[in-house]
Amino acid sequence: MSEISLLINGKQVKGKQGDTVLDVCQANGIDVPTLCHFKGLTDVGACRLCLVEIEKERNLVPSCTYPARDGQVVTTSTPRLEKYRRLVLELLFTERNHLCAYCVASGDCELQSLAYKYQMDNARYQYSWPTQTTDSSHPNIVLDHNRCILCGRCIRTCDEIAGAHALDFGKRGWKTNVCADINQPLGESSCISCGGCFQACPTGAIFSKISAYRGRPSECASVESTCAICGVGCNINGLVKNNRLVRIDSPDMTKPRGLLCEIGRFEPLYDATDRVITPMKRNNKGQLISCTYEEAFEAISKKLGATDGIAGLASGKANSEALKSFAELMDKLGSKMVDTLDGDDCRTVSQGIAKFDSKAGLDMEAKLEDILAADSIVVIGAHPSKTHPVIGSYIMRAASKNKAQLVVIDPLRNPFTFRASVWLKPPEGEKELVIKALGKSILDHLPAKATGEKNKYAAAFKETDIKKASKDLGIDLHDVVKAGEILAGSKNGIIIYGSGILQYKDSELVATILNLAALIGEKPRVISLKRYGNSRGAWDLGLASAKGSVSSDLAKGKARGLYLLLADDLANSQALTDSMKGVEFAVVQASYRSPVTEKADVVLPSLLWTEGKGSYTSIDGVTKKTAPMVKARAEIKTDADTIKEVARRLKK
Amino acid sequence: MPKITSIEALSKLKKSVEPRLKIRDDADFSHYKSSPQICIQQCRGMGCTAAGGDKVTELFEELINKKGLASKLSIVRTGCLGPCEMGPTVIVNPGDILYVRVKPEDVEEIFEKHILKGEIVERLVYHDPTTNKAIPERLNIKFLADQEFRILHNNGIIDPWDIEEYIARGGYEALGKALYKMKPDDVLEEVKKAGLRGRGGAGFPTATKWGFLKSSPGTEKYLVCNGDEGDPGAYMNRAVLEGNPHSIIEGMALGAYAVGNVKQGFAYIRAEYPLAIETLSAAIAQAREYELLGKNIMGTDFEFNLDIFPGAGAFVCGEETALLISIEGKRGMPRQRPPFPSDKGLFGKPSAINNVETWSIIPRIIREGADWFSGVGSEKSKGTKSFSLVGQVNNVGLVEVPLGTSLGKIVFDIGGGIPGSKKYKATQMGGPSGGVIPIEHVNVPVDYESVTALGAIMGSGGLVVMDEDSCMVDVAKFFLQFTRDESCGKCVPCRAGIPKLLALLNKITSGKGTLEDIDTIIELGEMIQKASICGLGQTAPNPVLSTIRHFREEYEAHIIDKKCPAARCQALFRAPCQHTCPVGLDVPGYVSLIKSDKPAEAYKLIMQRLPLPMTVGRVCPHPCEKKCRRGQVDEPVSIRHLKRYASDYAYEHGLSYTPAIKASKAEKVAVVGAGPAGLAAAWDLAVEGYKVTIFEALPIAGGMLAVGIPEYRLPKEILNKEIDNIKNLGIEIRLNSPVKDIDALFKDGFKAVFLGIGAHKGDKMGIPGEELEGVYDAIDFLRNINLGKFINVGKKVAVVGGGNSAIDAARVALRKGAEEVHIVYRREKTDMPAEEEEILAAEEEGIKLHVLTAPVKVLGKGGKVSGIECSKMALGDFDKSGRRSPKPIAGSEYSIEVDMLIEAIGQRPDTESVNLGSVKTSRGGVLVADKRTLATDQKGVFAGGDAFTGPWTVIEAIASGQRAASSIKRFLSGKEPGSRVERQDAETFEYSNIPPTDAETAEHARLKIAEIRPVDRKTTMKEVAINYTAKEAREECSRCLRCDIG
Repeated sequence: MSEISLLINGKQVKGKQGDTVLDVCQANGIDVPTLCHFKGLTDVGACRLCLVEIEKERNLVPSCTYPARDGQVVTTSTPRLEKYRRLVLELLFTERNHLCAYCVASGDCELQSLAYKYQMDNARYQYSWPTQTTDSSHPNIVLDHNRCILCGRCIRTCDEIAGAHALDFGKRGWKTNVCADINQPLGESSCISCGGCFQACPTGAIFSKISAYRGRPSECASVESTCAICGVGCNINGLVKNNRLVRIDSPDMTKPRGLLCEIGRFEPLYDATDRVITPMKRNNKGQLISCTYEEAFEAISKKLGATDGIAGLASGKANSEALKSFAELMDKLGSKMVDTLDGDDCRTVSQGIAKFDSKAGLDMEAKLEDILAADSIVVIGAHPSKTHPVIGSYIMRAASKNKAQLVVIDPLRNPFTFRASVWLKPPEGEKELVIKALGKSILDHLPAKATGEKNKYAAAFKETDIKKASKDLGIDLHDVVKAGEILAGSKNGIIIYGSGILQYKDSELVATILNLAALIGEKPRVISLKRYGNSRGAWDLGLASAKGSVSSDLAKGKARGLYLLLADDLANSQALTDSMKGVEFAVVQASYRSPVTEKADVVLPSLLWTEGKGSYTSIDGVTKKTAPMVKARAEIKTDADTIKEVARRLKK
Repeated sequence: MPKITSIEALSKLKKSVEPRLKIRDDADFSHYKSSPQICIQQCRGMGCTAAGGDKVTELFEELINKKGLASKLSIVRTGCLGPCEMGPTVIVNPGDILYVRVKPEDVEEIFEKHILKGEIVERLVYHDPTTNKAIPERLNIKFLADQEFRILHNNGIIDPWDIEEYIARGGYEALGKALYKMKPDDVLEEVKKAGLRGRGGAGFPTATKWGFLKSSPGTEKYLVCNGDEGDPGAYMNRAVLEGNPHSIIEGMALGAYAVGNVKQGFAYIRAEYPLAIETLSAAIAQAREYELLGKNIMGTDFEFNLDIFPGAGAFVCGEETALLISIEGKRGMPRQRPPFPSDKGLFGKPSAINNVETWSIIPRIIREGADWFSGVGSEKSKGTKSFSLVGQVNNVGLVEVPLGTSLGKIVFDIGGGIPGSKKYKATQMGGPSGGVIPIEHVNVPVDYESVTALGAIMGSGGLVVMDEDSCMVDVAKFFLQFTRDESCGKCVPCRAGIPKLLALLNKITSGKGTLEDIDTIIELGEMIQKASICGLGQTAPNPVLSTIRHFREEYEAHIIDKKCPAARCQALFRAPCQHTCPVGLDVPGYVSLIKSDKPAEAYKLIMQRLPLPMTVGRVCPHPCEKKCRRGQVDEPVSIRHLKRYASDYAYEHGLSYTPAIKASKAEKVAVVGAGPAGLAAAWDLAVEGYKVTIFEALPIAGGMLAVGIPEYRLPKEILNKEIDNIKNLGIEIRLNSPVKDIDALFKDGFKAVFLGIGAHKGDKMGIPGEELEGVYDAIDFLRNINLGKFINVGKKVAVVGGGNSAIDAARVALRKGAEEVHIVYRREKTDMPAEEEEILAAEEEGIKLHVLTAPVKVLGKGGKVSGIECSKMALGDFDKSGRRSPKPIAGSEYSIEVDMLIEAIGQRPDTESVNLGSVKTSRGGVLVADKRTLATDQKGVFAGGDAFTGPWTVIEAIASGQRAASSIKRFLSGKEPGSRVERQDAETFEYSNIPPTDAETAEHARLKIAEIRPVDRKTTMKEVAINYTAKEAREECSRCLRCDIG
């Protein structure tokens, strides 16, 4: 980008082509007040605080929308501009009920600080005292219209970053208000609860219930970390006061993995109950009682060292350091039965990839950012809005901002179906035929030249009779044709699939999906949705047994002992509990007490991801580290250290 | 149906339809009987339809069918004709005979008489509101005759639902000409040469806008027609959409051709115009069928499509960026420019938006040439513009005139002036974004620059005419309420600022405002103008800023005097009559007491604020009655006569009223002049306990009341009785005692002086012959008669002037033996300042009015008057009072033979013979004093009455006397002067608070007071007006609406 030079307030400064005047001011440390500007959002010029004078421009212009040009002469502060800014503040303060003393944002409020800055300590206009309401219908978020300055930052965040567009302005004139959907209570609206709105709010008009009055953000310690919950790997800032997580923010919502979701934003803030805070072992009465680490290690080394046929199962919730130690421990034990809890998913995906291209591995999967750049998106058997909400937002953003065409293949309605260009509703369990029909339809629409290039992927689809298939599937032929047309014309389409496919444990089906992807755009782009925050890390370490499911081995009673690394996984499936029945000795390493820990002979405590330092690899293969945001209530070793200790004491 | 694939096909079609149209243009009624075809053109515009036009058409159709005349008679529903208030309108051709306000029951008469027999039904044609003359020919009606139909040329003629009729009138010829004979740049050049400026309001040159779009890179561009006409009281665009829809289609196609790369256009029409949307939709469908829209237009490879986008009712969507965003399906909110639509418009593509009217005139510019277009208009504003003329004007309707036409011509000639003999005050131009143009600028040429210079804007062309009953603060509030509600809510200055402006105005109209509030309003208003995103906010403060600019004194009246001069701001008063009365008489109170048959109490109530009730009850010009709410139902209550009734009752029954006098005070006050101002000041001061001496130069007391007003209007006996009653308070009146030096009064021990010396000196005309014997001025004449001095009244008398003195002098001359009396006045009768009833009485008595006549020379014979030479006058431009200034018509001179001439053209105070100390005088010799405190530059000296105001009314003189008394009281007690009158403690009276019954409020004219017959009164000075009887008075009282209750 070419450099431009401007004269601002008599000083020569540099900017880039495409910058706004405000961008240049901010980059050069020239203070221009704003309220409606928010980095990364479209500028709207609504608050009029950033008005500046530009030579030869007849009117005052908002610097946030005005393009900077080479040679421009700008004045950001004159008596008139300062008077108007003060007037704007007076108008805002008298428009609604800005009563700082009661406000959650007091001390962190942009409006309040500007008032101090402009010494607007009283207003000449009559206060309006409007009868605004407070909408607290949402479980996590409160919308208090009394404090709203209608800057629209929440609305633009909801639309442009979260892709939800649940918020907008309602009514007009002096009665304008932020409203959800068609003026519904926020709690009954299509809000996806990502929390972007309150992070963007310059005042206390939108705030998080759980964070409110727990401590002003400016008084909290801020710890940069990564959310380890779902495998998107979002960047977070934990705001901590008195060793308590007050609030989780994004360091920059507009950057990749900067958007947070309902789970990451709120779940870590709730106080964990039923924590395992000390090691436990069974006493001679068979009761599980607290003990020291030494006593626990002693009990483990006695049993594990002496027992053959130890199975090892690890959750993808554990960090990579723990998983690595776990692998070493199993190796030391000579175990032939090592697997992850989602081992089946791993095998289905990996084998599917191998069938598609023997030289390819998990690395051939696309990056999450590719979703934002996609011009078409196929969602098959996946509900990212529930399992990986940020991916859901990416899809919505691509659809609304880039006009990406959505093709949804799912028997059930989901948040994308209303936005989809085509929604194919095959009966449950009929995914393969619909994929094949879609593939054929794409082939039908591909230009002749492309058909040659794509020939090698075409085999899986060529023979499909889409008319018959549509009839058999009970779907509209036109939809299949339309979807084929869209995808055939797509340059950088992407396919996202998840548990709806993986549940069949059918690697052929995965291979077919990959072939389908190869027909769309210049290279196949596919993302499989993995179940845990560090699933990909565990898979990359080779923890998932290539031979088959260890869980089913367990169920068949093939193992005599079990080392179960759950970490902060709340896994308490009946199947897992049941499979432990045939085991003589079980060690469970976990953060939470559950029916699984109740079955264990020895229980070792795990730190929560918010308490420890660890590496996590996202579903698209990006490894990031967490940092401890809070200290655990007791002295708990890291999972890696605990496992290393266990390994060190093994007799073998 | 024919597809138009070439110019030839178009002209062939045109020729085949033309005969059908020819008849509708035939204004010669003599053709009627011989015409083989008869056409009835009926307006189907929204106005006429709402007034029941459909039923009228239906009945005509029925009759045509019943009589089997379908082959000879046709009925066509056309677009709006303009005079919406006269709807439903029906034109019958040949003859161009216009019927107005046609009701279903009138149809048969028109049919039987006119259609079948060729006789005009005079009853149903337009009647001139002043002369009441029937004007059957459409274009002889001034309202229509003075217009220039260019945009609306098809309205009233063609059926807008028939494309062939549009073609028959030259439609689509311009498109054919452009596609086959012109390059796109030629089209652009023609529009540029024409000097067409955007009719949406801002007046941006259309060709320049198109030029921007043309040079903007991109192969996908859009044109948009802005039909979101949302100004209250504006309906110009609707008339075009409903009456001439194809002109918009053709205009946009021409624009698309000129600009290039435009395949799609959108017409954004507000959903509140269902008929406009229907009509344009039908036109689009027809144009497509005829291949005048779509691909391969007229057989060329030019493609253009047009779709309608109905707006959802937000005023702000008339703003171009909001309109575009609205078409995109989003919330219609304006966005900051740049980028401008020509760079990034609809769907992010380069776009241009023009108003309905702009598009509509394009075809005619291309067909008839730029010179034709620019042949009318002013230097920088070419062509015509349509306006919707609404408000307090006789002819409400749609008006098209060349730009540069004076506002006065639109309001008074085309609009027919102000109804109900009210005074014109101002016109609001440009809707809620515009401003007011006050009466003194009524000559302004209506073009973009001139109107903007006065703080208003052209806007889309709404003209709201307001009369004296409009309060300018209230008007500003009305428009601000509108913009407050219609702001999009996006930017802070507009959304949050307008409600604050409104709150400040509400504060002022409820009497709680301060002068600082005006400054706050101006400061905030300017900030809203400068800091808002779009035109809505940038112009929203205009109504308030322009009313402050032109009517600041009206704001100050609300703030300082707590008065709403128009009597509209109800929070300031109990009842409009009381509020308007200069002395604030409790009118509802005494009217109620008379109604309850307690005239004596009514008299006492009146006496609380008016020591001269019998006098005022006879000669007051009763401003109260002008604001009486009953006048909006039928006629105002006869408040003045009721006052006379109550006070005459007291007089006849020997009752008099003396208020309680406060403890006597040491200070002596001198009042100079025993006229109404001096008497009122003396009364109030005496009640306060001051010792008052009145110095009167004349041998009798009463001032103008005694020596200016003739006996037959105010008997001396009545006046003297009232003066005696005033003297009863211990006031000394020294007659024949002119004051020569006010300083001497202070030396004599007076601590304060009130100067109420009146205006007793007549003005001269300044024409040759004024020095001749037999020339009098009216003031001298009347004074001498009143003082009983002998004057040899001539046989033939002429009086010059149009005020009350002129009428009085004329009527007195008649009574004193003149055989022939003429009144010569240079303007029209309606412009005469004299009371309407006085003029009428004079005419009844046989006095001859020569209006639009001015004397140029007094003719003499032997040193004596023998006649006057007069010139007829023509009315020219409007002067600052909103009246047309008369100009002599060369060669129109004529003489009137007279032996006496009385000049009554003006009067002034005689201040030259008095040593006024440091009291200053101003133009016309009037005394200079503070408007509210009446304090002069000399400490302790106060001035009021005609000497301060110039010749004015008795009630104003009394009010100023009371004001001066209040100031003197403050002065003598060492207080700072106050801006409002502080009154003595008044007695209170109980009166009924029962609102009038339905029977009482039902329409019922006022009860006229009886008068002596003209033949009898001409020879006597006996009082002309006869008092109400008790029953009559009570009956008249029952007409009072009792605005003071609730």
